[in-house]
Amino acid sequence: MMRKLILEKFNEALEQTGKAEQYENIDDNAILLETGLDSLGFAILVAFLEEELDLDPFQLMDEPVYPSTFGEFVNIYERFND
Amino acid sequence: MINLFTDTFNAIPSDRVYIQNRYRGITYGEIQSSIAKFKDQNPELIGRNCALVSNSRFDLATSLPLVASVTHKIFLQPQCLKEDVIEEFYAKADIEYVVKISDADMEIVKVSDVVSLNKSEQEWLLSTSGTTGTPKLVSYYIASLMKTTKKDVVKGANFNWGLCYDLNRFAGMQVYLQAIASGSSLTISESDEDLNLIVADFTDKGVNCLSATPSFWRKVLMTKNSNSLPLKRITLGGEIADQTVLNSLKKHFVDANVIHIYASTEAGVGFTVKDYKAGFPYDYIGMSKLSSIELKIVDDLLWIKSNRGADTLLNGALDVDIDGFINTGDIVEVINDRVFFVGRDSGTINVGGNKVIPEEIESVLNSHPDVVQSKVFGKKNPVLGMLVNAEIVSKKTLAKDEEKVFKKELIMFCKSELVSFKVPAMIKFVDNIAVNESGKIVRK
Repeated sequence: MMRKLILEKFNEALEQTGKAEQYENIDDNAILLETGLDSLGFAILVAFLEEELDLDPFQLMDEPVYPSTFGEFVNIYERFND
Repeated sequence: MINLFTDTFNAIPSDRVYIQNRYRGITYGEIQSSIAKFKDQNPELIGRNCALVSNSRFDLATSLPLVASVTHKIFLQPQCLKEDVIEEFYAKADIEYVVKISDADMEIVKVSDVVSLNKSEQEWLLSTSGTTGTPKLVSYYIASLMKTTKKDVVKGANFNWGLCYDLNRFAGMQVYLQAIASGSSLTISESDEDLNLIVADFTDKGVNCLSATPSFWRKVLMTKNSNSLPLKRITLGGEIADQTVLNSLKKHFVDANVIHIYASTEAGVGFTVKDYKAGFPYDYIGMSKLSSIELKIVDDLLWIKSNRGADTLLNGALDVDIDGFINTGDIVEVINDRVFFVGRDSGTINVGGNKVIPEEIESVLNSHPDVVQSKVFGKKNPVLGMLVNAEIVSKKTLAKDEEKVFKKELIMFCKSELVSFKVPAMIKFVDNIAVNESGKIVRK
C-alpha cells in the first residue's frame, strides 16, 4: 500500500518539476538521485506524502537518515506510519 | 497651536453630515454641541494624557473629537494589544486616563497620577500592528498628520468618504482626517460586517471616495453589487498594488480616479501614484520632484527620508542611517525607469538557500484570470528547509476533480513566469484569505 502511494506521488513530483520520467515500478535498489527527481522534486514528494499521510518521518527521526535507494525511502515511511 | 476640532469645525456648515452608518448619522453641528458639553462635564481631562479605546469604529469617531478637544496627548489604542504592551505604552506615553467606549457608553478610568499639566502642542499617538515583532508607538503633531490632507470646505461638500480601515490605525486616521479637514462626510463600516452589506450601505449613502488595501479591493470586486458604488476616487495602500488590481478597478469603476499611495505609520505619507501603473517613476528617487520626501535604493531596499513622518518614536526602533533615511523594509526592483515593489524584506522564504518573496509569487497568481486572491507562505520542509505554499481563492466554485485540474494549470502558469523553486509546491483552495485590522493579508 505504502509503496503504491509513494510511487504515485513520486510520479506526480516528477511531473510537477517538469521531468519527463514516469515509472510503473521502481526497484528497491534504484538510487534515488538517478531516478530523475532532483532535490526540489524530492522536497515536493515529502510534502505530498505529508499531506496524504499527515506524516513527516524526517521530522520525527532522532537521528537524521538520508535514504539513498528507493527501498530505504519506502522503508522509512512504513516504519513511521505504524 | 492648532486644535483640529475647535478650529476646523467652525468653518463647516452645521447641517453637513459628519459621520453616518446604516443606523444613524451625526452632523457637524451636533458633534460641536457634544464637544462643548463634554468639556463642561469632564474638566479633569483638560490638558491630560489619555488613551481612547473602543471596539466600534463609529463609537470611536463619535468620541474622538470630544476627548481630543480637551486632552494633551491622545493615544488611539488598538483593541488587540497585549496587556504587557499596553502597560509599557502607558508608561512611555505618560498616560493618565483611559477613556473606554463600549456599546456607546463611556467609562473614564484614572490609571496613573497626574504627571504635569501640559500646554504645548497636542500629540496624537498611534501604534503599529506589530505583526512582525513588537508594536511600535509613534507620536505625531496634528499638523504633521495633516500635511497631505486637502482643506477645501467648499469642495468637501461633494465628497463622501467610506471608512473600511480601523480608525485607530494610521491608514484609517488618514481617511478620517481627510474627510473632516474638508468638512466631508464619513460613512463608517465595522470590521466584523459582511462585505456585501458594507457595499450596499456605501452605495445607499453615496460613498464616492474609498481607500483600502489591494486585498480589500479584490474582495470588493467579487461582490455582486459593487458596480453600483458611485466611486469617483479610489485609493489603494498598505500592500503592493499590482497591475492586475489597478486594471480591474479601472475597468470596473470607469468614472473613478485610481490612485495608489505609499505610506507607513512611522514615515507617514510618502507619495502617491496616479498614472494607473504599478510601481512608481524612477525619477522619484533622489532629489526628486517630491519636495518633502527623499528616496533612495540601497541593496534593493527602499529608504525614505521625510518631513511628514512621526515626530517621536516612543517605543520600538527604526533602522535609520546617518543621513536620516529610514529603511522601509520594502524590496524594490528597477525596470526601465520604473521602480516596482517586490515584497517585504522580513517575509522572505528561504528555499534551499534561494530567496523567495511571497508577494512576487502572489502577483503572478493574481494575474491568472480565474484567481481572485492568493496568499503565499513558506512551509517547513526537511529537504530544502522551506517550500513555497499557496492558498487560492478561485473565481469559480470548483468540484474536487476540477480543483486538481486547476491546480495543475496554475503550476504550469507559474512555471512560465517563475524559476522552479519559486513555483508553489503545494496549492490549496480556500473560501477566503484572512486580513488583519489594517486590511493587510495576515502573515505569520
